[in-house]
Amino acid sequence: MFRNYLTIALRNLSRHKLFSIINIAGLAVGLASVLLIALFVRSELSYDRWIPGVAHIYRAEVTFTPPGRPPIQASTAQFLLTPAMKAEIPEVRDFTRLLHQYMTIMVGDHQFLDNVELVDRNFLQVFKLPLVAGDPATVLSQPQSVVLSQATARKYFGDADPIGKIITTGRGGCEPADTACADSIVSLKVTGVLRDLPENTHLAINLLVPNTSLVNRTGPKDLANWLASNTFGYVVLAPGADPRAVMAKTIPIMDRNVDLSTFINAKIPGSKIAQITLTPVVDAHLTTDRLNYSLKPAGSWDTLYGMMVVGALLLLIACFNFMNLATARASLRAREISLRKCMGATRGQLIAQFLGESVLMALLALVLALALGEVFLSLFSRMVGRGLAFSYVQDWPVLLGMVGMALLAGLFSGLYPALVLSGFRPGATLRANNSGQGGAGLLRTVLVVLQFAVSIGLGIAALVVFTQINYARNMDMGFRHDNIALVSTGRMTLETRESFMQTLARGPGITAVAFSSSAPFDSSRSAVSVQVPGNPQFFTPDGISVSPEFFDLYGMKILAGRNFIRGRTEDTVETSEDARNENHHIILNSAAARQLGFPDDQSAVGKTLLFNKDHLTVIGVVENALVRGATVEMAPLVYYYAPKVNGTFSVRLQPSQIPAALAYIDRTWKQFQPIAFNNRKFLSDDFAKLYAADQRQGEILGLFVGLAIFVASLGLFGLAAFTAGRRNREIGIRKVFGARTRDVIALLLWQFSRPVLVANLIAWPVAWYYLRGFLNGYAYRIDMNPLYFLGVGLAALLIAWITIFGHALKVARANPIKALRYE
Amino acid sequence: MSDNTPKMISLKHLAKVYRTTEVETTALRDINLDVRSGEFVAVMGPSGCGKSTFLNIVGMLDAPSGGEYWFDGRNIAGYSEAQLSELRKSAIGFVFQSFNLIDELNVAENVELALLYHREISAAERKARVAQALERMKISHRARHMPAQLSGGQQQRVAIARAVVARPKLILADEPTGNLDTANGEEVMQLLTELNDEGTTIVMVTHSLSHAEYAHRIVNLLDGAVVTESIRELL
Repeated sequence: MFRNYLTIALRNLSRHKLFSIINIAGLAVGLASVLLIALFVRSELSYDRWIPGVAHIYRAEVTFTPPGRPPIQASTAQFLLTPAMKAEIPEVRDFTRLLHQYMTIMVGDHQFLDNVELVDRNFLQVFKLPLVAGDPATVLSQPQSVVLSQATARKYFGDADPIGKIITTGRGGCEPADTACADSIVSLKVTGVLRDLPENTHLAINLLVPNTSLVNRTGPKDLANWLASNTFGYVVLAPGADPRAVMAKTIPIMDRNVDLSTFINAKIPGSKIAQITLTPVVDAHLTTDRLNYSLKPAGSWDTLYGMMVVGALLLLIACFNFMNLATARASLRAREISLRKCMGATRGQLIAQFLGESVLMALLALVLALALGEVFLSLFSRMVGRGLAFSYVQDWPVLLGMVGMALLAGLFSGLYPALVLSGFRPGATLRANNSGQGGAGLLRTVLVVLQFAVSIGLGIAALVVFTQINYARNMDMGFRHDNIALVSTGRMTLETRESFMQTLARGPGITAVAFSSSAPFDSSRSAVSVQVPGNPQFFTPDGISVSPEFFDLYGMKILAGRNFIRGRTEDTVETSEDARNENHHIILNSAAARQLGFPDDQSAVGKTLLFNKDHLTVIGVVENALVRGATVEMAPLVYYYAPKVNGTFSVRLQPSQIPAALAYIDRTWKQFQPIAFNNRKFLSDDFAKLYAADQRQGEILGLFVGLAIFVASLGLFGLAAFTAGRRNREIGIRKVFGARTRDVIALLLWQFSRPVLVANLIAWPVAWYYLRGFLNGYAYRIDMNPLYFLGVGLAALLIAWITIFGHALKVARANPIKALRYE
Repeated sequence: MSDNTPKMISLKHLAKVYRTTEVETTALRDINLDVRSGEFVAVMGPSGCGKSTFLNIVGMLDAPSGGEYWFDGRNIAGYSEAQLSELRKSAIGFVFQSFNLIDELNVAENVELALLYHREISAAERKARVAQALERMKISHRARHMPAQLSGGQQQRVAIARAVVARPKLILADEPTGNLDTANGEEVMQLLTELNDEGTTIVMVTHSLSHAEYAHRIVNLLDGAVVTESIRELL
């Protein structure tokens, strides 16, 4: 019996090649997509879970709520927070900290610019990361020691044993004027080698150095600053401890240490300014906001859910195909079923036979899906920006899941056809030429509608995402960000810096050089607190130190008043704590002028504002610039000129002479900073990174839209072949009565246009609802233009037409006699 | 029927050969036949004699492979498919053995189909002519029914209504009574005779001698050739 079923099943497969290929290919594409998405989801959910004891480790994160501006949420905290927590909160068993820094590392004659993580000496005892060499308890006990990752060790020393080797770098934490300190070199001894970390951890480690080392770039003042969040702080809670209770116990710590009174003339409790959140380390990867600081690109629940939904939809489309074509084929099988019934087959046996057939088909699709999955895994990994891997042996649960899913898809897809086919009455089907089944026809139409609704919805989403990214990228941000090279000042003294700037400005292809405490699109920022005299309200706009060349270089117009003038002491400010700047000058941007209550830019000029105890005069108002990209609302900004503050040089290049200009910059750097790595980069690269995550999401969406449309079209193609065949006789009659080929084609195109048109009506509102949410993530966004919806709808219609045109033409051209005689 | 009546159809040395890679089948050979306007011709012959091929060629559904086909004074042997289609829809009405109604359309819509591809006829006029044709075939009361709800005789009356609604000069009937019982068959023959009396030329393929006797002339085909022509009066 079973052999007979199998024979029939296999012969059916080979006899109806088109249907078989469409069924299997469609389902395979669906299953392969699900496999890739499952690997991605599994990888995202597995972050850090493999680290022993990780369940008790939490990351302390601070949210600053300065008066007069929205909260600033960080993934980091103050350097002194976690030790204070351990000292005062009994549930906190231990803590460890990580400062993320860049350093120029010298190994013999070679220079490398690398990320260096400055950590507490117990770091490897809290995070039990596997060491290839060295003892986790002691590798970090000497201040001038370093643990390298395997990859970094190989990069520095090749195949030689790195243990005991020396690497050198400049000393950190020097006072700006201390040239001797800045020029001194520190040797670090390699004490251990860390096994290269897998993809699924939020940690990224090349070099681990104790934070007590002389190389620590963060100075003692910054480390002691309770108003700066510069440290990844981790605490280990006692088993069973409630993190919320621990969070509550940080309130007194904040009250005692966080103090704004040196900046503003008011007493605000510290816990009102800074709040601590504990995030389980296993959640760190998926909860770090994309605007926030992280060691590597963070994931997001939104992306994860989005991918799962898309995967499920694709599988659903593929199953719909399967059901659709199987019911369509039903009439071809009617005779076989009737004969089997005449021979005494029960309905149950028939259902089993047809379910078996569809499961067989699904398993064939699974084999193809696994092959497709392997072929496209590396491409998909690159698209999602993760290193995904799949091994049949190690990943047997995923494999098992896939088999289960294929079986389920086969059963689900085969259920309806099995019930319909087995329900045929033998008499009726043996007698009549035509197995008339209006119900199945309706179901088929509904399934085609749903397939296209999904494809159209995803298509609109992809279009809107790409249009928005493009819009954000090309919008007028209020300043010119093209052809600018950025060079970090590193550890230059004030004099070196000025002379470096002057030397650069003389170079070929360099039109201007400016200096500022942070560059546009920089994620770090600092706030200043401002009061309008006589008004108790505080404002805390971002503050940025700029040299007088800055506005001109970035093409930002001074709307009222004047620019800073080099050499005028009253145009500069000192930022050290004891410095007094009474009656010195600042410049506001337009947004800050509005926020502080000046009705227009001109009226702000000449006004005095209170910065803590100093009165500063506004000498100019400059136009707004979106230095944080299109996702953030235009922010109020205060510009001051603090010559002593380190930061970044901006160098405007002549487009025609870029190579010469870059070579000159590099030569000049070597001359001024022979031992430091030159970390020159383009501002446009930072700009691109702003939208990298959305761009990637858009590309992934685009991929799955393509697949969805492909599978839906496959289904439509099969259905068109079938339907066109069924309508042969009708078309023959129409032709006999004068229908021309084009009349018939129009008739068939219209038949398949209707479901696509209805699909639009379903897809449009759903797409609109979800895309509104996406666009709300951008402060500056495109309007939801009806043309996107119409355009995608039309494209879907066009694809449907192209898909079925071949069949329509064939049927329309056929000689009607055949259809009328041999029906 | 006098010899002065204009010839509607004139076939000269008409031949039809079907070729496949292996076999060459001669379906019609050297057919010479005239049909004058207003004539009623029955074509008879055993199965496989070429009756259907003959009717298809006369109905412009198939092209001859040799010889001439003059229709209304024009040799249409070399006409393109589009030209044939144009000529066919205005000049010829078809009636089939198996009725060939479209299951998804109701009676009135099936009849209307024959006018649908005449762009010059307005919707209102289409409605009027369909109503008239249905009235004439005494099937008006069934206008909204689907074909499956009708008896065979009723279906064939709908099919005849469809054949005449475009007012063709020529009706080609392919065994119109083959699927009908005696009473319904007689009724269909009556209808065809009436149409012929009003001036419509009719060429009918049939197996039934009694139905062939409604025609003015019987043409017997055997192995793709005309073997006898007999005028009714002589039988």
